[in-house]
Amino acid sequence: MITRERIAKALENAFKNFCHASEPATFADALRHWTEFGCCGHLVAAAITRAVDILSGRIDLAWYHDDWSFNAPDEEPNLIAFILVDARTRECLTLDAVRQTPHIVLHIETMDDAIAAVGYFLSLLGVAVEDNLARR
Amino acid sequence: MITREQIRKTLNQIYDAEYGDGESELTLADGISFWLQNGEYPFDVIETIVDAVYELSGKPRNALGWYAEPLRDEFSYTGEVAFVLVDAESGRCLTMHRSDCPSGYTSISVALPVTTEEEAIDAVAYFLQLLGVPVASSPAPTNAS
Repeated sequence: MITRERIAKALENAFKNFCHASEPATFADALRHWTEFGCCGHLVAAAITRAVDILSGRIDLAWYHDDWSFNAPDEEPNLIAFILVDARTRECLTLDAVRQTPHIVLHIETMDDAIAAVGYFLSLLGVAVEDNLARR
Repeated sequence: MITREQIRKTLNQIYDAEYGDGESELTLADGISFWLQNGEYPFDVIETIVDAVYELSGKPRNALGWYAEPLRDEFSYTGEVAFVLVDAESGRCLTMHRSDCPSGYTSISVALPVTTEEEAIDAVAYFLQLLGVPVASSPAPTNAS
């Protein structure tokens, strides 16, 4: 069972190991830049996807993410669109069968939001997470 | 077999019907020029490409899932659009491919230049080929990312 604490730690580790930006230095800093200045959304999204890779133990996931503050400026702020594909089967795990869209849009403003996003993607992959993290 | 001329005609008919004023003819090239000059979100250009794929492939609206993002550099749009195309029935991502870069990572999007009418035709032809629709002599994009 993946706990909130493990996800929070994985987010920081993923940020340090894979986003390797000198500024901001931590995931929490990147979140602050994102919410206060509207920048670093791609780093926040990358850390979330890498944390999912690490915690799921999957090396065959393919992602697309898009900071909506650039492309849909009239939308609510702090939105990131994610697409997750299982590269082994090509199955799009984020496909919305009702709207026929391959993406889901998540509001990422706080550490809790980021942890919930990771929990949601882990649950899509069949990884057991704390009950309150499996819903988006 | 779909020809480039059919694609061109379809693109321009859709663009004029959707975005024209009913008097002077408006072409997709007009829309592309406006996008590149004014830097507004190219909703019209993207929708026209997607609509042309539906029309020429004969696929119903609920058969495909699309995501499109006009790419930007630090200052403005680059003229490329990243597309993700999913077969909504099977759930399979049709645009997934192994990247050409040395790391060879798996990408689920293709970035296609859409700075001219010819490039828009190439884009439609590329998607039609992904859907198994035969297209006359249309090279696949070489800059997929």
